[in-house]
Amino acid sequence: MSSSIQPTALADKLSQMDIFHSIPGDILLHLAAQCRIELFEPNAVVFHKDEPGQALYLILEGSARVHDGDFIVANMKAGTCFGEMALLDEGPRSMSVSVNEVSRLARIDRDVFFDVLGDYPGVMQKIVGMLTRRLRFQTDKTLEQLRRREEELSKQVAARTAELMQQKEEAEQLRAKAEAEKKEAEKQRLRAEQSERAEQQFLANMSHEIRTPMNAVMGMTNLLLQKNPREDQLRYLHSIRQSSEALLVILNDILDISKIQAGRLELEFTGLRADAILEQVRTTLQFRAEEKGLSLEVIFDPNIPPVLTGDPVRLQQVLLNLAGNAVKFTEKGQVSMEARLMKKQANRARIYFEVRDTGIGMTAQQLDVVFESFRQASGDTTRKYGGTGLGLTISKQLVEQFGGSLQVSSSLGEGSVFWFEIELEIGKASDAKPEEPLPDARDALRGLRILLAEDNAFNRIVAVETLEMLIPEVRVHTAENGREAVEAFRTHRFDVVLMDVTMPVMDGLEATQAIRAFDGPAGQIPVIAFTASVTKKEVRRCLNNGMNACVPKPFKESELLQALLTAVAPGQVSAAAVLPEETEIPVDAGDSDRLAFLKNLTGNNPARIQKYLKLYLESVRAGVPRIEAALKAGDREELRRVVHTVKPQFRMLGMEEMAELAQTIETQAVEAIDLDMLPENVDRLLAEIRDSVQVFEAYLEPAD
Amino acid sequence: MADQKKKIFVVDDDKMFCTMLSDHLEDQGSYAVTSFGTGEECLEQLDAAPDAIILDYYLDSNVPGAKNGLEILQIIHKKSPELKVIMLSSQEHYGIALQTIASGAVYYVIKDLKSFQEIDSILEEL
Repeated sequence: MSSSIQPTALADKLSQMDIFHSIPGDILLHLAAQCRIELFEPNAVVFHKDEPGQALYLILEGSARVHDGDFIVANMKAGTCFGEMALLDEGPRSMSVSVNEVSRLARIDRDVFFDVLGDYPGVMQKIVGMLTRRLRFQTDKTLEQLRRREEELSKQVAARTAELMQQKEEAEQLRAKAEAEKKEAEKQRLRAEQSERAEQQFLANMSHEIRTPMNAVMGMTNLLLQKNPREDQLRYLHSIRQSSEALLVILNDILDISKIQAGRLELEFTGLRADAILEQVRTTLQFRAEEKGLSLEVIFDPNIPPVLTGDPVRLQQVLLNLAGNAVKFTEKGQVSMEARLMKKQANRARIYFEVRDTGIGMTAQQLDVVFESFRQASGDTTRKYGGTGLGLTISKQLVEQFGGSLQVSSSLGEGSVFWFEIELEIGKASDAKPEEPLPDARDALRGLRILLAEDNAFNRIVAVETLEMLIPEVRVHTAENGREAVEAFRTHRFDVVLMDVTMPVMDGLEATQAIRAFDGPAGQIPVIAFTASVTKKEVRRCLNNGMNACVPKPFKESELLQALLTAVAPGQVSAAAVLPEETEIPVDAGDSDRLAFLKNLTGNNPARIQKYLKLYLESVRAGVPRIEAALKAGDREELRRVVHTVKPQFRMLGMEEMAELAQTIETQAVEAIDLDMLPENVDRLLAEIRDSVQVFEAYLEPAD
Repeated sequence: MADQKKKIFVVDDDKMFCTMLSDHLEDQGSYAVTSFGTGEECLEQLDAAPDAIILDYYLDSNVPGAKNGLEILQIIHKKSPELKVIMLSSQEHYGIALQTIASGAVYYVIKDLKSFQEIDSILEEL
């Protein structure tokens, strides 16, 4: 192979290479004759990294590549020359050269090169200068390549980093999303809680709002019943009483069921006498049973411990509901209630309660749904027997709270049996509720001086009249809110305070605290909360605020008496009776200080007072002729309109009596009652107005 | 600071009460009060988006045939269900109170010596 190329052809090839460009042909021929031709197989290495070549190569056939490790720096084709650095004893130390395919290379050894050209120093110098330039250029190129490679790498790194960043960001986003979802869930939970609280508050308010007027209705009905009504009136009154009692039952049912649904129904464990409860249920239902010709039987196991521990109110509620239903759905035969001791061990007793009737009974399908809310055996049942359909649901839940399970068996037309077993702790005799007050309780309370704070006018009347009816020689002082109560307390002596809890201006709790702040025995006066909210929490709140007891509204006379008797020891009443009569300190409310409120309101600002008085005068000066005209024309609507307009102005200027008079006129005009009194009242009002105009004009004059 | 004041509308045909209440509220520094003698006037200004409206029940003393507070309340409630309306009346009438609350009023205040205090605490709560 080495002979396949002639030195002249090789010299010709060399002459095409830039370094040999300017070398005379004879020298090139001389050099070519000294060249060795070498054959390389594919992938053969011409020289290794860190082993600089000792020769200059010319690729005659094939191709070669320059590597830097795995990285190909350059591809060289036939005709290319490499290894020039070897001639300068320099080399790209970091590179190796290998061939791609079968290649033929002409090799000019370094020694040969210098031997041949040693005789031509000018040529040598030129070649060396060029090589030096090329070396610099190549170094620059290599550096550039390295730089590019680094760039490439850093791009790759950046791309990878970006990818990682994106992954991280995605993870972050996922985390944020999860976080947001968690927050949202939390928000939802809070909202649900809020709405539940709102619902509870609504129920509490409704309970208050319904109980307050109900208290008035029931109280006034009782008062009327005591006033020798005619036969027909008596019937109506009884009917009102029955209806309102029924309404209260429904109200209580609705409140109970909502408490159960909210999981807030709690039993209150105190002493419990099972015999007394059964007896109480019998007494309650006796009349209704007798009316229907039913016998009502109580079977009480004498082995049952006399006092147990449980919630007597709730147990009675269950038995009264079951027995009440039994009486309701039984037309003939009997209703029986039974309590039996099943087991007694250590301090616990297991008691079986049963209510059995011979009534209409139920079908299997009816039995399936009997404990569901708002369900009665059929729509018909509701029409015929009434009721909310909540009683059994509540009873079932209550029994479960007691740790038992309410069961039923029934066959249509033969009657039903409801039963349950509950385990109760055996209590001490002292746990049991005290007996009802003795008949001579009234005497023990004779001459009692009571301060009654209640904002609702109707309830005030009911309470005052009831107290006057129940307690001989009682003296009741009323206040419309807590502040008035505290004021009255400051100026009068009392034996006991009956205090509504929810009142405007100052509520009962604040008022009680104010009273408790009084020095000496006055601050120790018993305060009985008198409230429409009867939740356990409310009772606790009352006691925590210094009140001694709670009487729920609508109150029962016996409960009120009991509370008063408990609060006021008998000795204290008689002792109080010998104290000097209450001395009233007059409260300045006369005309002289008609401007008191206005002064107070404006911070005694004369400009403001004048402005308001002028507005007042403007209003009544326009109003008076209209009132006169309306009275003359008998136009009651116009009269109402004008009087109503001026009324608040009387109030705002502290002229309460005139406001009251205006209210009376308004009512008379609207309701057309006591119309014969109307002109007289209007005249009185007009006179008062004129009087006030005089007073205010006099006040304004110096300023005018 | 000025724009942080709560915007309150007072609607009452009783000029004296209206003025006193407006003065009282303005004095506290945290309310900007606009008062109207009839409900119709107030309705025209609803776009001004008040924070609360204090609305009297009877509004026909000077303008016979003017809509009463309940009607105005219902219109307001229909237009802006979220708007807080406090009803005022000079008489304690359970039925009216219930009606106004059922129509969307947040409170029902009886006009008397205590009503300013009551309105203060209600506005604070809102």
